[in-house]
Amino acid sequence: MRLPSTLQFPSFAASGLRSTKLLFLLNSNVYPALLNPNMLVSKEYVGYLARQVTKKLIDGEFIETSDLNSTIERVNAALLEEMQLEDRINDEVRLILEAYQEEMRTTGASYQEMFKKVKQQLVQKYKAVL
Amino acid sequence: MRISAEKVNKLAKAVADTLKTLDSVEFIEDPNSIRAEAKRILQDLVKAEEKIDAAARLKIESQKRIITEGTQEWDILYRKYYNEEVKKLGI
Repeated sequence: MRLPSTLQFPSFAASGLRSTKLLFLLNSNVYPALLNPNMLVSKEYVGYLARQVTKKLIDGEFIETSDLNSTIERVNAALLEEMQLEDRINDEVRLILEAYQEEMRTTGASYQEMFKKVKQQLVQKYKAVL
Repeated sequence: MRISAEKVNKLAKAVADTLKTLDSVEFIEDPNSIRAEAKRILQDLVKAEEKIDAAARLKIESQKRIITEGTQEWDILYRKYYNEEVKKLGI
């Protein structure tokens, strides 16, 4: 099985996980976590937020809707998009650092420090609120 | 607070903007009041979520060896324990 390149980064190797443990994790039900490891809250909780905020706005007589489920779905999609902004930025940082992986290894640069610096630059570039 | 006040503002705006685009939704109050109420509701819900986050972090900290935050291993464990806490609430 070929490992995703992001799992071959120095920070992961330094974490002490052996390849057998890694293969277990990849084959287990926690694998989806690797796809969105840094989202502020889980997708399940975002769904809960969408349901609650929609229902409370209706109960408080701020809005009315003729299609509750569709309204919740759209609110959920909007919240997810905003919540996943940091994930998308993190993915971009990993891609950038992957290109400099060899250089970082030879110079002994800290992956975590580089990650923070590049991330900060992207946050400014996109004017993102994380 | 893990989700900043600024982020809650952005989320509330996203909710209000989305509701505005839906034909099936009728605004009874003005858009600013709806955004303010969405913000208030989200703030309460975010506070509840912080307890889930704290419980997941505590589980990682209680491991025999130190697991550094920001590593892939930490992320995997965090999501695992976080989801366990979410399930406990029946969400």
